[in-house]
Amino acid sequence: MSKSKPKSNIETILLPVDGSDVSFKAAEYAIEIAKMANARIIVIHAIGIPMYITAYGGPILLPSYYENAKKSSEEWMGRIAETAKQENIDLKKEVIVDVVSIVDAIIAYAKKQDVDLIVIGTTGKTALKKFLLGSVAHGVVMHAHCPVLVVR
Amino acid sequence: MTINKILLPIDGSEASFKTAKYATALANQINASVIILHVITVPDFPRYLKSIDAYYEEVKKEVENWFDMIADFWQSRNLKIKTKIVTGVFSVVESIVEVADKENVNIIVIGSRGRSQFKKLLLGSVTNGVVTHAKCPVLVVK
Repeated sequence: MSKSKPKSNIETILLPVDGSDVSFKAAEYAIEIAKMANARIIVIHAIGIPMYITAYGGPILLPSYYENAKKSSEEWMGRIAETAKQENIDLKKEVIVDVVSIVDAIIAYAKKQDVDLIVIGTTGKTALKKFLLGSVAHGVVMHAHCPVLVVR
Repeated sequence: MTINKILLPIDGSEASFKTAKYATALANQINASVIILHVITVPDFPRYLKSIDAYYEEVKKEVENWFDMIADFWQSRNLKIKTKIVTGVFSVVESIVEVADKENVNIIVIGSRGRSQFKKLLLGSVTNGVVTHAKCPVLVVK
């Protein structure tokens, strides 16, 4: 394979997004670094099992729920892909459904793909101002195998 | 948006030298300049009967040694590096965040753990504070 390289050589960047404003900002940084470092980007959106599925008892069908969630993610993931394309950056989109823990899903994916850097937004959709650091970002910083860039 | 200025806080630990290596290689890869920072807090107890300034001077000498060690990583490269020592503060986190702000850096690169090598602690207290309070993005290196 490749000859021995310094650890900080960034070839693959993992960009977990959830459609929030901060995740678009994270995307800007990922694209900038990818541009400078000549790296590729994998955008990932993890969709967890909805909490209310049992709480409301209604016959919400999981497959259709995931289908809808996937469809709505296509639009904004496409926007990120478009920006990357303009900068000539190799970008792959990935949606993972049915995850119990978003943090687990992200760090497991990062390890499997052997990414060199994860770029993630501080707070996601639960934009409570009090939470200076969201639970997902915090979990990823703590458990990831590689360096993590936390963007706010 | 551009990333051309990196702040690298170090504490002299083995881990912070590893982080320095990473940061200088990254700076080289993305063409950024680096500010290496060490913060010396007010000592918890009077270590010497000498003046506190004498204490700071002594620590500064040690810190200059660290800077020299890190210099080996970048001397072969064409990097723009600045070093900075802040003394007499009470909070390391606050100092780092302030310097980042004043110097207008684009990102802070910091190790996940510094001097406290307590393995169960996945994220050191300083790093945790910097990630939480910094106004710019923070790159946490393992």
